[in-house]
Amino acid sequence: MKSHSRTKFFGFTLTEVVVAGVIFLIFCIPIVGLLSTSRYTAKRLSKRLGAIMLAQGILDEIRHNSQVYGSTMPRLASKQPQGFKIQKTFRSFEEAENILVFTVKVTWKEFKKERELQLSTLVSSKPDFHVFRR
Amino acid sequence: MYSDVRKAFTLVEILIGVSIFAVLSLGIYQVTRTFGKGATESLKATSSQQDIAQAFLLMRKELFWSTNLLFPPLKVHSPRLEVRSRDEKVKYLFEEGKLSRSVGDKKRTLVQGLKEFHFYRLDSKLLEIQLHTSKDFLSTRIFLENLGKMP
Repeated sequence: MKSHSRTKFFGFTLTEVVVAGVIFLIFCIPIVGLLSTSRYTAKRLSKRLGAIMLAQGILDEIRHNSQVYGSTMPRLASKQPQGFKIQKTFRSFEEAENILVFTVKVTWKEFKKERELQLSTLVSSKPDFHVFRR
Repeated sequence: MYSDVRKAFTLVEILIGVSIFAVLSLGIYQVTRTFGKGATESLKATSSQQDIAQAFLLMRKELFWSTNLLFPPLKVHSPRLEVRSRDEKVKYLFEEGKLSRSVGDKKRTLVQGLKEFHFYRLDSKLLEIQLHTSKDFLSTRIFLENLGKMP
């Protein structure tokens, strides 16, 4: 009597591999997402900190000039961080006389998006007080 | 009845298996290393930025109340700043990448991992602070409003 030969192969089916792959991806994607978000946030924070320090510095210089020289005219050369645009504006304060509101607007580009930060301060304006117009 | 059950791998199968495993492991190692490095860097950067922000807040507050600036003189770049603020002599010093603050015998490190840091008196009451981290250059000016006033 002829023997009936039978060969058994152990292995994964295509469906099993695909399902395992999908489960692996489901676990991996949030981890990769978290890491890239953390890098993005660190970069954003760094730019924002630079902008805050820059704006505060400009406002302090305006306050210094107004109190020491009675004028907000810029007097000192500055080496400002690159990648920031600065815009200084002023208006009179509605609630009190002889008070000006100075606003510094710092803009920068961040991942192709324009970001901005505005800080303001109050400065007293005397009759002989000179305001920069630029 | 005879059945042929294959219970072992051939040498070629094992070699191919090991090679595939090695290639995949190398790839996974590279990816993990890159992401790990990135994550560590960004964590370090975030922590350093928080320290810098906090140090500046402290300095701004302290220098606002300072009545006497002992060091540096005008137009001199210095890694050291000494002021008298609220009847206390406060010293800020940058050395070996660290910015520290000392009052009397007490010394505390405020920021670590800086490349460069210096104080510069632009005017009698205007102080400029510039610092370089591994990536950024930051600068600000502080108005020493109460300088010269009686404590």
